[in-house]
Amino acid sequence: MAGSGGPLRFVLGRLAGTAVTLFGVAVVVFVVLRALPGDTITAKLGTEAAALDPDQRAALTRYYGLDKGPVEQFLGWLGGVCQGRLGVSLDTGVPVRTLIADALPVTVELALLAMLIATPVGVALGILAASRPGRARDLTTQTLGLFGLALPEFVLASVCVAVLATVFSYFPDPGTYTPLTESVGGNLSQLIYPALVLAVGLAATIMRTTRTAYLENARSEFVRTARGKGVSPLRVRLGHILRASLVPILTMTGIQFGYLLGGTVIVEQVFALPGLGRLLLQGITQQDYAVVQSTTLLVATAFVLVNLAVDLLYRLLDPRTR
Amino acid sequence: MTTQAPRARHDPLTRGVWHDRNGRAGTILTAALLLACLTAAAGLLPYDPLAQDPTTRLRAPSAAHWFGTDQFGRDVLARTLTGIAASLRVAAVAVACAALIGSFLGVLAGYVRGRLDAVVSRLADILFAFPAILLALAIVAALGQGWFNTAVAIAVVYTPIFLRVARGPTLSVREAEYVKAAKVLGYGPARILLRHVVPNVSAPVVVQTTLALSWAILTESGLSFLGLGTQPPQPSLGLMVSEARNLLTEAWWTLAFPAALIVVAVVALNLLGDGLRAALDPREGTR
Amino acid sequence: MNGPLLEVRDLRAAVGDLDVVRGISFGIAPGETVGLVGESGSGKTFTALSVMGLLPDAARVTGGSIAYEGRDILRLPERERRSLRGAGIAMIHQEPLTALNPLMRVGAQIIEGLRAHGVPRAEARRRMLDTLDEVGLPTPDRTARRYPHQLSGGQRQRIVIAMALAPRPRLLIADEPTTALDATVQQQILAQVDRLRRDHDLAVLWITHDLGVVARLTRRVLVMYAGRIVEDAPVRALYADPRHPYSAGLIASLPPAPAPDGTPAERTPLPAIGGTPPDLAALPPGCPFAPRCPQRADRCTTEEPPLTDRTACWVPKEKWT
Repeated sequence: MAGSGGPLRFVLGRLAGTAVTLFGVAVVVFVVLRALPGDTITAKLGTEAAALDPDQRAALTRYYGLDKGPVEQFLGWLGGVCQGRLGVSLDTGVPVRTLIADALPVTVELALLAMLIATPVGVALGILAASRPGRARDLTTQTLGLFGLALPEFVLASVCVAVLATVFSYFPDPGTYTPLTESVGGNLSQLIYPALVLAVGLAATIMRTTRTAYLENARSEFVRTARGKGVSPLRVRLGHILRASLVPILTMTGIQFGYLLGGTVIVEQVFALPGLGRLLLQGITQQDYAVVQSTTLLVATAFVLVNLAVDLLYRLLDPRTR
Repeated sequence: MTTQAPRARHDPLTRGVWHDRNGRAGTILTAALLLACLTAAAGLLPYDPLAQDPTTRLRAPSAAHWFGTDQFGRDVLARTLTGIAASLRVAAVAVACAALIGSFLGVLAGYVRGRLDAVVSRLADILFAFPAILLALAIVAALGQGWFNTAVAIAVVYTPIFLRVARGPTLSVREAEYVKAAKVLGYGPARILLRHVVPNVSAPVVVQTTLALSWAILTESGLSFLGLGTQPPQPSLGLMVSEARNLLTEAWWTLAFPAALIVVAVVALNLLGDGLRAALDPREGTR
Repeated sequence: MNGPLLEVRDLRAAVGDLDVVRGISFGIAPGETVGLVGESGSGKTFTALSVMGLLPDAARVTGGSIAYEGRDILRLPERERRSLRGAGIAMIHQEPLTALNPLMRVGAQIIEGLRAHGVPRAEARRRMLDTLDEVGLPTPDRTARRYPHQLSGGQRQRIVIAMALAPRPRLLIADEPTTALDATVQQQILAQVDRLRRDHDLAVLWITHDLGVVARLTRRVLVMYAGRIVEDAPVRALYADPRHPYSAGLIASLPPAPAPDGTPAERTPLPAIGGTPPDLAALPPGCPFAPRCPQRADRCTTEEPPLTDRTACWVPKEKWT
């Protein structure tokens, strides 16, 4: 009969679970990026931070809580993060919050664009492959998918940039990034290629998920029942098989979107896009821990929240789980 | 490598993999790769991957240099093979650690249950809350660059995955009637674990191992590409691609061969994984 | 129309290289009820799916003809064949939970079948509600809005039946529709279908391994073994005087006589006849039942007996031991 506990209780339960996970994420970020490289941070504060003015240095010392014990440090840091105090970049003295606010829209837009390209392509190819399992078009699509997964992003991105440079004399330059608000066309012309590169692997993943789900549902009894009712083949495919496959496809798409928020590092680096990934990478190479810590925490939080959204959406799509 | 553990000739798993079309292709490709890596590791290559020679800069592939030479006159074939050997070493160390620790914790948590299980599973959930590449980057950021730290990062990312893969079957075996019967008969946990749990856990762990290896190769080369993994002048496929980026139009071979080898390695391991899965679960067959 | 509603002649079907239906012939008259019994693997379900045109991908019809209202449906273009499916011949499957789409409200699933045959939307909705009422589901308008998982097993099977009957087919193929249900519900549903059959002058092919069901609901029985019909007889004749040793084995292992009200004493799965069920990939040269047959003669191991007027057996009843 109707699901026990009710939807509200389920949502509250998931929210509580998410809160615990997020706290755990904060602990991991703190341990990995604050406790492990502790000496490095102290050393860097001593040397390079000399270039900062006293106010900025004080802000950093407070941010890292260098004069307190580890638990206090953690709680102080977490409290600060919750109030939006993300520290100051060790290199430039710019507040990390500003850096992130500038970088986040680039990455989100890139990820959305890649999803927008990859999802229809992946779903269409998956259905194409599943419509004749074991035949030429299935094997071709599956082979393409395997290579799509195996071809590293950095190879694809490098080749893409080289071709752009040769053919269109286009050279990526972080200084010339055009935000969407400034010029839609200019922005898209800079984001479309990296989005395409990201879309290859994504489409391959979505294609595989679609194929598996579609095949499984096509074999199911309820599809035979629908055909037995005299329902047209097109309606059987769209209304029954694809409809039933949407749940796993959307779940996979959502999870992939979450991955993308952290997985754009290479593409942003090669295409010189001033997004979160590039910010993170610069932070790592320059041992700018305030930047790394905040970026990591932000992306992981976004990932957890996207997964939560996917989970709730799943409940909405599948009446059995309501 | 863990997947290449020797098996009896008539072992149904090896036979099953060989009967599966993907499994056969994967086995052949993986064996060829391993052979090439062994050749490189044993120093049997005609050129030293590090030896620079200004007189042979950027030569196209030829009989002398099958894969051509790079901008320092180094042999691309020697560097590519040494590079994939390095990638596989990182991948193998990382995945072996992850598989051993993850499976051990998974079996332990699934068998003992209780508070231990709750803590271990919650920890795994928290690690799962990070996108894999982000977690690897964060760990490299904390530990510093270099191939060993890359291996540690990959191992940390994959440990919770193996933990889940091992915990599931352990839970179901634990509740199975024959295990309850064995307990009633007074058999100790060691015997039950070895006789009943390990055989059920090993199959999914083996499949996961091949997939983890392919992901580890991609991650290692990606981190090296970003300058965070293997450090120059040591050859690494990611580094080679990174260095060849600006040479692509004049010397395509400097990028094409290392890139192709990454693809081949990942495809090979995926096919092997498909074959193993088909051999372990006949419904998934592709013969 | 005179003559049979369905006329199957020398039907053959194969899964890959394996012949699962090996030349069977039978007819069903309008309004007639026929039982098709046999062990699992005897080809009952493949026969039904061949008639429906719903064989799985790996299987296909390899010979013979299936005439519905005098037209060979195997030669019909797919579009016309589809218009027959559901509207002319309907089928209900074993497992009501998996037979229903878990993501669609049950009312919509019934309407879909009606709309597929051109019934206007409002009319389809009215007929859906009527049929739900007819199959004995209370508060049809509420039930129609439910999803399959919100209904009990018996309710789900009633939905499946309503779905099959709403387009008013002339022939219903019921493939063990009650095996997944408990005994009481099973009896109720069988009785309901039988009542609907009489109301709508429906022909029904009952596929089952339960001889009790056959005795209660049908007049004629086809006994299948290893892809062939081995006996085709009126129910009473089969029970009183089975002519094939396999049928005789089935009857002999039935529980004692049914209760006076017609309820069988006990549900029995096919009784254990000595030996193992036939391996279709390695059938013996003669009669496929010969290895298990207590009446086996020499000829049985060399030549497969044809189905004559009633049975496919070389050994006449008088010579049985």
